[in-house]
Amino acid sequence: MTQLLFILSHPPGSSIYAQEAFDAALAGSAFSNIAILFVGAGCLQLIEPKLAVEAHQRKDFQRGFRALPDYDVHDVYGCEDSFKQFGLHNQTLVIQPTLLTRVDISAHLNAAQRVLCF
Amino acid sequence: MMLHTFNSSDAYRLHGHRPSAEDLILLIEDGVFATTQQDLTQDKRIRVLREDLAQRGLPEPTAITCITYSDWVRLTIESQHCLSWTR
Repeated sequence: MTQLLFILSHPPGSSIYAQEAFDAALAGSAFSNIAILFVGAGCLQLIEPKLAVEAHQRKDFQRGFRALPDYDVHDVYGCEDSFKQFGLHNQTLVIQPTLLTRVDISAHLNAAQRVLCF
Repeated sequence: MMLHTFNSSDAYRLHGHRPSAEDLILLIEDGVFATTQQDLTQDKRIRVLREDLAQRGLPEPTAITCITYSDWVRLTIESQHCLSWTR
């Protein structure tokens, strides 16, 4: 059962939200069963960064998504509507989350013990 | 029941469709401006934080329930989850 569900709703780059959320999720994974849900502009975090770190002057945390299975994080979800809205079906993504409909998302929220919104 | 808070009208525009029929929606901070930008009176799930309306010089909308900080605390306790949508 999902003890902590992390909702990631901010795009990368414009604020520290995205990076902090990922750090929090990794910390959470150390002591509980977590799931991650990308919604809205948060889905944009999944686009493979195409520039070198020197070009955008921030930590390249998105590549870390590939390490999630090593942290025993296997439940990574994305909002299907948001994927359509942001045209992500044709993009090269760092990882491919399991896409959920609005109804599925509600069910996951209801089933989670705690939900953390970033 | 879940409590969804929106702290800006942008956040409400982006994620306002996410709360389900039995959830509650609370507009706080600049989220209270959503009441001036669109007609929210038909949506009975909406609550607005009275103090944040007052700070922005906005009148309390007649057909929308305005709540106090104490009410917010009570809703938080009653809700299964509190989801904070920010922008």
